Amino acid sequence: MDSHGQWLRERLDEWTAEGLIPEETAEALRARCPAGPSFVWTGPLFAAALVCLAAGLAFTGAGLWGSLPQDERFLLAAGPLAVSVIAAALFLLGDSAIRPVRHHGPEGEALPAHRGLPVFLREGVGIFHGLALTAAVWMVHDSFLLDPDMSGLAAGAALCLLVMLYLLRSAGLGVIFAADTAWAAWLSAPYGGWTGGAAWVLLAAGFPFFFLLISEKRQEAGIAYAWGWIAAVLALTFFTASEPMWQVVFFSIAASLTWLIGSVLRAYGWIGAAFRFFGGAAVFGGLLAAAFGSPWRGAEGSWYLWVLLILFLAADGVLLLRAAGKKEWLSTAAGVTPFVLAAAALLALWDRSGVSSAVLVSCFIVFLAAAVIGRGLQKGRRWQMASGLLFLMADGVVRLWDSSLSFGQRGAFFLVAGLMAALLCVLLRPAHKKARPHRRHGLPEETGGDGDA
Amino acid sequence: MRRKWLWIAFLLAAAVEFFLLIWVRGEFRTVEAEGKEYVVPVSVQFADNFYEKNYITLHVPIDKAQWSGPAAPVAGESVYVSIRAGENEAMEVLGAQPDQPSGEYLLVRAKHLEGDVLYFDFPSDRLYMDEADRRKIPVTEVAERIQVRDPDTGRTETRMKNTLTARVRVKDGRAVITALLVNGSPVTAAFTTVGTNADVKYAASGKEKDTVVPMGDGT
Repeated sequence: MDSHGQWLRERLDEWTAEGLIPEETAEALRARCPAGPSFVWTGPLFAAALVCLAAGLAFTGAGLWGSLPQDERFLLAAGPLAVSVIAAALFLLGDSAIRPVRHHGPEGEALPAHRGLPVFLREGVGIFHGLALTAAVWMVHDSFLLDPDMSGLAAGAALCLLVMLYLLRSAGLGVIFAADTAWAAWLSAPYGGWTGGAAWVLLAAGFPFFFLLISEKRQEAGIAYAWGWIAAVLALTFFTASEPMWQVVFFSIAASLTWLIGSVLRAYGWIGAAFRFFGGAAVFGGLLAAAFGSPWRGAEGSWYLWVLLILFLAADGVLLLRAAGKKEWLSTAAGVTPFVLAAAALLALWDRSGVSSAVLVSCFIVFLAAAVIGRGLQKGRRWQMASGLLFLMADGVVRLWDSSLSFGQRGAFFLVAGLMAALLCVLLRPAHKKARPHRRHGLPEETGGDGDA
Repeated sequence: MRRKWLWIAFLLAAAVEFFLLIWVRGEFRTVEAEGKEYVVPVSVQFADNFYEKNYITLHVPIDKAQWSGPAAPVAGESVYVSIRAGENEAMEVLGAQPDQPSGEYLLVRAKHLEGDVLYFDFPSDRLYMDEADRRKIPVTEVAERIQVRDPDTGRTETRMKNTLTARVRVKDGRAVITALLVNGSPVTAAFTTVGTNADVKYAASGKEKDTVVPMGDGT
C-alpha cells in the first residue's frame, strides 16, 4: 500500500466526517486510489519470487545432475541446445518472412521498412541460445573430462556465438558472447597457448555489432552490449597481462575510454550519464591504485602489451579530440589518463623502484581533482566539489601510506601539492564569486557542450 | 541470395556447436574403449563429497619424470611422458620430453622442473560411476590407514589398510580411469563378495601396533 494513497484515504474519512466534501466525491476519490498492495511492493516481491524460483530450479537441477550417469548428462546438455537452435531457426524464418529490407510504393517511393518480430522475442531466443550453448559445453566437458584445459572448447563456443550474434542480432546474446571470450581467456591463463590471443580476435570481431545495434536505433541494447564488451576487454587485459603494472594501466585506460564514450553519448541522456559516472568512478579507482609504487616496481612487459597499449592510445586519442571538439573539458582531462599512464610505464622501465611513476600519477591525480573541483565551482555543484576534494584527500592518504617513497620524498611531494593547492585557490577565487549569485537566483544551468557531469 | 547465405551460416554454426559436444564425448569413449590398459596406484580424495557427484576423485601418484628436453618447459606447457607396461600391466614412467615419442605416452601439463626432474599432474583424476555403484563403495576399506611394523627394518610405518590401484586406458596421450581396485578386486565388490581383504590384527593398547598380512603373503 503506497503512503500517499493511505494518507488520502485517511483524510477522506476525516473530511467526510467533518462535512468538508460530500460522500459521493469521497467515494469517487477512493475508487481512484484503491487500497491494496501497490507496484512499489509488488515489483520487488515479483523480483524476489523470480529469484527464488530460479534458485530453486538451479538447486533442484544440481541435485538431479549429480545422480545422472554420463550419457544421460549428455542428453540433458544437448537437449536444451537443440531446442534453442530450433527456436532460433523458427525466429529467423519468421523474421526473414516478414522483414523485407525495404518496401517501395507504386511510384517507386520508399516506404518504412517492417521492424520484424518483437525485440523481446529476438532477445529471448538469443539469450536462451547463448546460455544453452555455454551450459552445454561446460556440462559435457565436466561429464567426459579428458583434459582439464577446456579453453579451446570455450573459444569454439564463442566463435559459434559470434556467428549467431550477427544472425540473431540480440544484445543479450552479445553480452553472453563477450562473457564467453573472457571465460576462454581465463581458462587458458594457467596453461598459455593460443586461446588467449584467439579471445582478443573474437572480441575485436564482435565490436562492429555495437554499430549495428546503433544503426537499428536500438540505443539501450547497444549500451548494454557495449558494457558487456568493455567488461570483457577489462577481463582479458587482466588475464593477458599478469603483471600488476599492466593490469592497472589497462584498467585505467578502459575506464578513461568509458568516460570519453559517455561524453560522446551525451545526447543520449541517462545512457551517456551512466557511462560518465561509471567511467569516472573507475578512473578515480584506477588512478589511486596506480599512485602506489608497488605496481610499477621492477615492471616488465612483452612487446605485444606495448603494441596493445599503442592501439588503446590511438583509440583514446580519437575520442579525446572529439571530446575537445565538443568543449567537454573535464572529459578531455580524463582522456589524458592513458597518456599519463603510458608515460608512467616508460618511467618504470628507467626507474625500477617505481617512485617516479607513482609521483607522476599522483601529480596527475592532483591536476584531475583540481579540474573536478574547478568544474564544481563553476557550475555550483556541491557534490562535484566534494568528489574532487575526496579524490584529492584519497591521493594524500595514498602518499602517506605508500612506503615506496622515503620520508623526504613524501615531504617534498606534500610541499609541492600544498603550493599548487594555494595557487589554485588564488586562481579560482574570482570564479567562485561569480558562481555564487548564479545559484542564488535560481537561474538555469548552462546547457552548452561544456556540460561535464 | 543474402537469405541463402544467412541460412548456410546458421546451419554451419549450429552444426559446429553440436559437433563440439559430440567430439568431446566421442574422444572420451574412444580412449575408454580402445586405449591400452595399465594399472596405477591411487588414493581416494575425500575432500569432495562423491555422493553428490557421478564420479569419485582419485589421486595417481605418478607425477614426476626425468626431463630430456633442450630447455625447461614453461608451466602449463603440454609435454610427453613416455610410459610402458611393466609386470601385471603396472604403468612405468620412462621419461619426459617436448616431442612426441615413438612408443606409448601420456600428454601432461608441466608444473615445474627441479634439476632434471619434471613435475606434473597425472592427466586423469576421475572415475565416473553410476549412483548405485557409488553407494556400494566401502568407505572404510578405501580410506583406513594402519600403523604396521616392518619386520625387516623394525620401523613402524603408516600404510593403507588395503592396496588401492586403478585401471587406466591410454590412447594418443589421453588417459581415462576405468576402474578402482581394492587388493586387485573391483571396489564395489571389495567388501562383500569378491576378493580377500587384508588380514589386520588391530593394536589393543598404546604399546602394541597393528599388524597386517598383505594380500598374497599369508593367504
